[in-house]
Amino acid sequence: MVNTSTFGLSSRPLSALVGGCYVQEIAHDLGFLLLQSSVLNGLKSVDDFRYLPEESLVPSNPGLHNEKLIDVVSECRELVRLAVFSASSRFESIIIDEPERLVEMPAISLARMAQSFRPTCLQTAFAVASNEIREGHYRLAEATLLRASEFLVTPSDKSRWYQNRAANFFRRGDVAHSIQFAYHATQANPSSLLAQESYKAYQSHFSRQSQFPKVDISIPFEAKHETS
Amino acid sequence: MKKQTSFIPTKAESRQQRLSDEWAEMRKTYLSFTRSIPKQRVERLGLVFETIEPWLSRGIRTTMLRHFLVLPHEMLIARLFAKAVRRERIAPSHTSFLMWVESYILEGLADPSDALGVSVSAANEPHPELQYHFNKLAPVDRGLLYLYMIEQYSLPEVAKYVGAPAEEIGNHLLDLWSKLEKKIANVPLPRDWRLPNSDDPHLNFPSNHAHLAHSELHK
Repeated sequence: MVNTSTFGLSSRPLSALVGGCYVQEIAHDLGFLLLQSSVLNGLKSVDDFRYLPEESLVPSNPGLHNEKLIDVVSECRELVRLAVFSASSRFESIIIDEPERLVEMPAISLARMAQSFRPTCLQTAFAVASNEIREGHYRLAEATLLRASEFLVTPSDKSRWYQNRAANFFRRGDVAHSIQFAYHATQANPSSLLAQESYKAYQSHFSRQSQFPKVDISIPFEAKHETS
Repeated sequence: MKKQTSFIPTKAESRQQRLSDEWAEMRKTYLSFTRSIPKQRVERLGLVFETIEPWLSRGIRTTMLRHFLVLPHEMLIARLFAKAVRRERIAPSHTSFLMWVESYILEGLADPSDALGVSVSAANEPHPELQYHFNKLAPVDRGLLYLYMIEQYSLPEVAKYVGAPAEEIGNHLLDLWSKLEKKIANVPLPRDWRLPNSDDPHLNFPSNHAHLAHSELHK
């Protein structure tokens, strides 16, 4: 129960509801800002991983974004102090003691923090999974993606979900499976150029590799965990 | 020499001006809230709520009337308030703010993952099942039930609004209600709703007797 006097709200029942919604909204905002920070830090990293986050997640002004993040974190710190906001104990210590450290944290840590505030957000799940793939945690990434499957709604969501799974199999060295998932990505959203390009790239990679067993990639098998 | 014409604002213009002035005042409170330091923001939440709440109530009521929807009013106020004060910018005019409220409600209702329209937050709000089944009716049907049961217009007034004979509207109203009643058999109705029944002399015409008998059984 939210202590309404904390917010300068009256004691009528509606005030508790208002305070609760406000705290929820801050958590939501913080989650999104952390997700954006994760994307920023992910883009800064230089390696052979083809990291292609959604354009809407890339902050147009990183300086302003960091300022916003610190501002929201400060408000959360105030709410933690007033005991109306709870986060994981590890995260609480960062909020209270050294919020500036958030900006420099690794992309995967930021994405996981974001997920703790936005557990049903597909974009956040993709950010976590792509960082897990990048760091070689393929099983974790697969589990993250499978858990996220219940939030798939639009054809674009489905296509991105298949693309992430294709990338995961590709990094594991299972090119045949990555082609199957890349194919499903093109079918889920035929207008996605990214999905088509990825499918072609996996196919050309496959044709260059002689050590892989030959499969008929023109007749894709159904993905085991395909969503209904 | 040019003749000077005096400008006397009409009643509607005066009202619009008053609303614009009130909105400008509201924006000042909102801006001082968003520009304050986080600690002060938390303390000032009550003040900004009292300022913005009448606008939210107006927006919710307008949307419910315009689309004939049954919704949890208090939950909407709380959710919309939290959304509004966390936005980077508030609407420049009260009309665009009311449009934002309307779009938020309709978007929430259309989103299957959103609990809006299937949940309650206060004891006096309509039961979730009632919200769900009522809001799923066709807009025209919703309108008839809404005007008669919630807004409590008389049958001749509803007929005049719809532009159809009162007897035809009465028959349709009873038919709609008997169908909806079956779906929400064990659901308590809000106390201030008016049920279509024989107490209303306007509904008591010969062709309705079978309907009314059926309705009385479920009373």
